[in-house]
Amino acid sequence: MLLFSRRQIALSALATFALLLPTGVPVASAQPSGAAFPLSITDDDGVTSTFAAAPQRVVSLNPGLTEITFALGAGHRLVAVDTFSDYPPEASTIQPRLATYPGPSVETIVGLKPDVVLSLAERTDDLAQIRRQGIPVLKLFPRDFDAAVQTIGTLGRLYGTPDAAQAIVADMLARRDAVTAAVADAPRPRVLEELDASEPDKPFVAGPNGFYGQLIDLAGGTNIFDDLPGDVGQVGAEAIVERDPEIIILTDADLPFNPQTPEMVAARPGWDGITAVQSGAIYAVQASLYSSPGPRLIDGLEALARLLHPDRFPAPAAAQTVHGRVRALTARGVPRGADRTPPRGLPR
Amino acid sequence: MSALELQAIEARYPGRRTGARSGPADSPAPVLRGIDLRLEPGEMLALIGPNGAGKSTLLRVAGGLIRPSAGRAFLADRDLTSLRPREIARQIAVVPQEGPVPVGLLVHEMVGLGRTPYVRRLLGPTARDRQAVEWALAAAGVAGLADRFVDELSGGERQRVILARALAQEPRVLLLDEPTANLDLQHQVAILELVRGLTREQGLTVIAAVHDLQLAALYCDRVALMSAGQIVSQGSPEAVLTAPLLLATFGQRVVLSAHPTHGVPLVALVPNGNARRVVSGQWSVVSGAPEASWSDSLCDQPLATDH
Amino acid sequence: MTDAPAKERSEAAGARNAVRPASVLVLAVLVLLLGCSLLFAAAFGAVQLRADDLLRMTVNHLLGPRFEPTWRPQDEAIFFSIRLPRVAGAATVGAALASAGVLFQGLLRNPLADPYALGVSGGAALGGALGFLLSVSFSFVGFSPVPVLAFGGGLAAMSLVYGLARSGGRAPTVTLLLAGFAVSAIMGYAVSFLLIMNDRLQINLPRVYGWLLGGISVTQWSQLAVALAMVGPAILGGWLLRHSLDALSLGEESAQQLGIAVESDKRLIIVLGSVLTGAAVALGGLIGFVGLFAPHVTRVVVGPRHGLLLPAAALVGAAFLVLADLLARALLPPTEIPVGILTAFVGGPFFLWLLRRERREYRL
Repeated sequence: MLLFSRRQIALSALATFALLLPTGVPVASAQPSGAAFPLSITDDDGVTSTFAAAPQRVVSLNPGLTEITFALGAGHRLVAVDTFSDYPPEASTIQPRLATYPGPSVETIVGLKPDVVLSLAERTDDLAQIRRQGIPVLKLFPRDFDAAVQTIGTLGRLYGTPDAAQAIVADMLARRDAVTAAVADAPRPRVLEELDASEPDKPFVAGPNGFYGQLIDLAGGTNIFDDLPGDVGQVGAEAIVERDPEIIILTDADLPFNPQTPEMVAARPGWDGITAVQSGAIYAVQASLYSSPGPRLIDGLEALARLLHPDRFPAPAAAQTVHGRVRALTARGVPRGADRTPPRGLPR
Repeated sequence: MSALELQAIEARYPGRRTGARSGPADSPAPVLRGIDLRLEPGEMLALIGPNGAGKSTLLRVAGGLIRPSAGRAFLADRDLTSLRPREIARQIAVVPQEGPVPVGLLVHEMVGLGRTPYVRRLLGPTARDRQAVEWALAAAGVAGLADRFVDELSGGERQRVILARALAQEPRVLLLDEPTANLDLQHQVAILELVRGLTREQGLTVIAAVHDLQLAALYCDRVALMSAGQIVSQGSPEAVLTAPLLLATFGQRVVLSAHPTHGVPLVALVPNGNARRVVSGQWSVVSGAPEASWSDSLCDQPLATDH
Repeated sequence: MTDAPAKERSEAAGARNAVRPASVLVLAVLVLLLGCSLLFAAAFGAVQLRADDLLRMTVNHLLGPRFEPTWRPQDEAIFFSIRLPRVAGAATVGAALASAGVLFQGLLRNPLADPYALGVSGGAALGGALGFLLSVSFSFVGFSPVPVLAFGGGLAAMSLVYGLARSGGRAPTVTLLLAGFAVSAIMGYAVSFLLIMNDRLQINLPRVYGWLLGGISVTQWSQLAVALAMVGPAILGGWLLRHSLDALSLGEESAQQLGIAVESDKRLIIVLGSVLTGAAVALGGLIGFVGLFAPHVTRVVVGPRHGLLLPAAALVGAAFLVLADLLARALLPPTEIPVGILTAFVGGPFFLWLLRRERREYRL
């Protein structure tokens, strides 16, 4: 019944599903074969769908899956997306836009006669109803970096563009390996990644595994809350002060509600003794780079690694791409007491 | 100076829009019309009449609960509407027919609630208040029940506790709304004995709405017979409790004679077809005759009972 | 009918209180209980702090540096800036909710009445949801938009309920209850509707629901000062109305005949109850169960007279919520559990046990 936007993935779905599923999450798999089609894919619900040919009419109910579709060059095949799909910018022009809370309009979806429906975590009943109409549904819910990479591969095979997928996957993996190699022998700072601070004395933070936790790990940091039971948890300020992070990452700086700035964090009662606050190592980052199971995850990882280990990465070149500009912007933190204003208007 | 006086009282039930004050949205027909009543200190008046005659409404007006739509009500020559509820409560106490009883309330605490019009807001009850409670408990004969829970008492005991609460208000006027309903014979008599004693000893003025005409005749100085919102007749029991009046008001035939020991009117119902009939030596009843003057034929009979 | 001799009367009066414990004794025990809860809750939390360190820290804080620190500097930050305000907030909210519960149960003569009975829960939820929608962050005496708007929403809903129930200068009890239920339901569903229509709220879905479950959120002492400025006088005002509340338990007619100005006292009780509930919601969101449970539990021990019931229930509610909040903080460290879950889990079974123990049929 929950709407799953990029933020929702991290905050609620991961928290819930992470508790239910063991670490070995069934990831959608496709049969490797010489001939591309017919293709059988088993999704994360365990439902196998068989495709005689690459689907030409696609409905995507999740912004991450939309993003992957565009990255694979199949964006023109999308006949409908969800209301939150807005990256790349072309995605925000697609009509109709389906609301997914509390559930998608099955009638509308069926009326569009799609060849496949891509879902991240819609209700099983709704998806079953769509399947009963003869429309295959793929529930793809990658929970960490590796699973996201696998999903890109799966969708590549689905769309009949395995080469594009392979290129992206290879790029992501190569850059990841570059990051991990660069930070391999570096000391791992204690990192706090804050996801939501509507109640500043009880913020939501990243736990182990999942997107957030895994990226911290890959970027060469130690998550101070790697003992949380789920991928996301709500913790008390006491515990944060006790665990004394050296770096604080704010993914709630660009939230539409109650956005946090490094100054606000530094001003919280009782937080002034924290190492990160005293050294000004509080950084606001662009949330969408971390919560979307798409190709930009690697951008997020690189940005994070640069924040945690600035000495291990060369200064960023003049930004040519949108991604490059984002990287440059997010690499700046705000030292305590300085006049610099935090990054504003981060492009989405 | 009268204890309580009602002059040309008219009352309507509050309509939806106007509440306790009367106004155009009130019920179309007045519930009480042209009520004139005057009580002297120490008097006990019985209010009798069929259901819906307006007895309870009259008691509410007399107690200052309902504001009359016409006429005036006086308490010891002061207009009731000019008095604040607290002042009224120090002079008039009501023993209602029934009401919610909070769970876990002790008898002496319940009686203590009768001191509400006197108790100080900040500092609470004084020794005087406690004294009044003790007196009320004794006067109502429930001193022995003081530590019991009110909701564990029998009906008769509870009624006396409510009476004690009313007495704790140290009123000059006591209004009783059907105090004998739900009580057994012994308790019916007991409570009226109690109240009557207080009118004699303390000069308490009492209006009691009762159903039992016999008890009214035995205990009350005066009787007011009500019907359809008006007082049809008021005066001594002998004057009001007459067969024609009772037939006209209640639609019930009665035979009246003199009470064997107390001389007050003895009210005997003359039921219709299905009642039993026993013919014993002294009392003979001729069947089938219409509203004859039974009193005449019966007064000639010698009394059968021993004293 | 003669008066009993004076000696017998006073003896009888002396033996009278055998059934009820003495007021002073009850209050002393409850104050002690609250004190112990506060100490206990201050000593424990997500972070282990040694009790003797805490004592020395406190002395240093109050009287100037007397002791050499055997603790880390962050321990002081944890204790004074994070933990203490929270514990004090829990006590304040618990006292406020329990008192509001006593007032509304007395006013409405209904054992199911709780502080949220007259529309506050829906109004506060709607206010809070609107607060979640605002993109401007302001801080009013330390309160962020959500609690401020929740407070306003709750009070607005209560006024609406009273206005709807009132006709001709009187507000009948049953009408108040029904109007309260309806207004709360309408506003609560309005929140759900907003969630469907508004993207921003959907993004914050877990936060909105989390806030609805309730959780003590006190970060600055100024928040506590404002709340206490409301809660203290309101509880005192309720206590001054104790005689009215006692009389109202006999029914409104009887109360009036005992000299109570029924309608104006009812209005006053509603105002006081709303202030108490509003303050509680501002500090802790919609924490359920305390306002229903503390009055009932206290009533079983001390009886229905409000002179003792009100202060006693306030102390019971404070102690209970302090302990529930302790569990919320320290049961699964470092995870924070919404305190509303714990008030139900801890209070619920105890309350059920109490009901079964009371053989008397339970009326108010």
